Amino acid sequence: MSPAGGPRRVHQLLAALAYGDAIGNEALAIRGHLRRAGFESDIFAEHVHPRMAREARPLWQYPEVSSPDTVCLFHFSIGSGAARLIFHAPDRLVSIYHNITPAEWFLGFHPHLAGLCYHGRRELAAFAPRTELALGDSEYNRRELEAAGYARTGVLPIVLDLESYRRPESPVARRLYDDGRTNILFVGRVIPNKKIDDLIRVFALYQRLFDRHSRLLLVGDYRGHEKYYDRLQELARARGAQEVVFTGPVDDDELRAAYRSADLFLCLSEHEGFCVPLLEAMAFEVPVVAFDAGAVRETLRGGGVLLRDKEPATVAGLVRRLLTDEALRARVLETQARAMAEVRATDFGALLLERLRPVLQTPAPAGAAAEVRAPS
Amino acid sequence: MTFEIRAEGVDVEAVMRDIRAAIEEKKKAGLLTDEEIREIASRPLRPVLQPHDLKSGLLAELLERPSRWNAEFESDAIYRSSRGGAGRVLEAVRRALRPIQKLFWNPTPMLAALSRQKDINAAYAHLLHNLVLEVTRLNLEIVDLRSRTLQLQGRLEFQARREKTLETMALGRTASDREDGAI
Repeated sequence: MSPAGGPRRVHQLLAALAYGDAIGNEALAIRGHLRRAGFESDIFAEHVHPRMAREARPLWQYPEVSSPDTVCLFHFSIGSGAARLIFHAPDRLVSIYHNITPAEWFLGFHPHLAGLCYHGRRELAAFAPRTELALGDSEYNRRELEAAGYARTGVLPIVLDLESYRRPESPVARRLYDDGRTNILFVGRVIPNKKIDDLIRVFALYQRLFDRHSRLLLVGDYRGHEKYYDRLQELARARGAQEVVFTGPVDDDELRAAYRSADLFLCLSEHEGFCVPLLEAMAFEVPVVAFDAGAVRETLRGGGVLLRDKEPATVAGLVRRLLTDEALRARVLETQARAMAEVRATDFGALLLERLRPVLQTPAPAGAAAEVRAPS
Repeated sequence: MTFEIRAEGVDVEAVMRDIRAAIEEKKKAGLLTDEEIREIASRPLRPVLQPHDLKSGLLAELLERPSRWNAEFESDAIYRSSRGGAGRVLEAVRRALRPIQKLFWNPTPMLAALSRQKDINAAYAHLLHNLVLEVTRLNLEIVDLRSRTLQLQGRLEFQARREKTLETMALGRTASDREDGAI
């Protein structure tokens, strides 16, 4: 891929390399593909989860590899030291954009994060002239990059480690959830744009109208968003919804147990830049019902059931229908199997190198790093 | 509501009709009224008030027009009259007779006390304002703490269930090992 004179060093820079996180997993996959293609490639992160300590180098070591011939794949994130470092470094910059939630979603629940998101989007625009190539993990994200002023953009979908889904699940969690109740699952952080309040409304109606013996299983971290979490708990209590389970952060084996115990995956989120759990649910052959917002339609690739609006009683009715109508369920699972076949057929390594080709096959533009302005 | 399924042979309209019919049936059976459904569907999340964002306009309101609630009191107020032109004459007579009047009683302690009362009233207004603010903040914090306690209770119940499941599994395993002669 890299011609004589082309860069040989392609490193990645992240704000945080977390355990079990889709972005962290993608960074590991990218590193693997780059190394196999003969590039020198490491991951540098500001914060590294103890379980990932062997996988990443600390951010302060980045200046050791930084040079005008180094290509840096920067996973864009809000308010990070990594952003400030790479903005002023001489490296050739490729930004990978996983989306920034619009600030208004956090107003009233998390004013500090609302401020960070607001400034994050301004920072995104400030990075545009500094970036040689910007990759969004969906067409939706790519369009946002274009709107922010990025000249050269592309789509690099998030890679899934499908093999890891075959590993055994936590037997305790599996037994806990497999107690004869109907499990309606959602996986994702407990934050306002995910509209978990809508999930609770639909579930409250579903439980009252159709199935008392059911559970809403909400798998995801709520730390840092306690205000929203408080209100959700209050809503569930006020509506008399029983068995609304917030698991908090879980290990991978417990996540697998949740997917394997799930009867249906319901997503009513109103802002998604990609939404990995949709693919995960399809990989675990759980029927998916999702509201058509952000990149959800793209991620589903024609699989599952896509809601155009979400009137709670009717969504509850649809959920019931999917859980009881074997033929309809089988048809939906067929659509999901087709979508997953497309995902499996994607050669992520080849796609990655193809997307990076414009940068990897050209030498660094002279003085590119010297012309940049400091971010506001 | 409409939805999309990209599968052949699925009549979305027919499915929707069935769903609506199923909901109507449940309503007829008395499980839920239209009003209850509307209430569940539209109940908004209670807005979150941050204790540090609380601002009370009470003090500004009180300070803006003190005459509405506090005594407007000056030392010559006891000699004033509100009877127009005749009152002004009366005030002049009272002022002229003030030295003689003082032979019979001493109004100065009373004037001092009333003046002090006016200041005390203003101080009470400040105090009342601060108390209102503080009580509201404490009330918000109590609501938060109550929520936090309920959350912890929920977590505890969940953990207890996990523990019970684990125990059941461990006991089951021990029993099967015993049957196999492992123990």
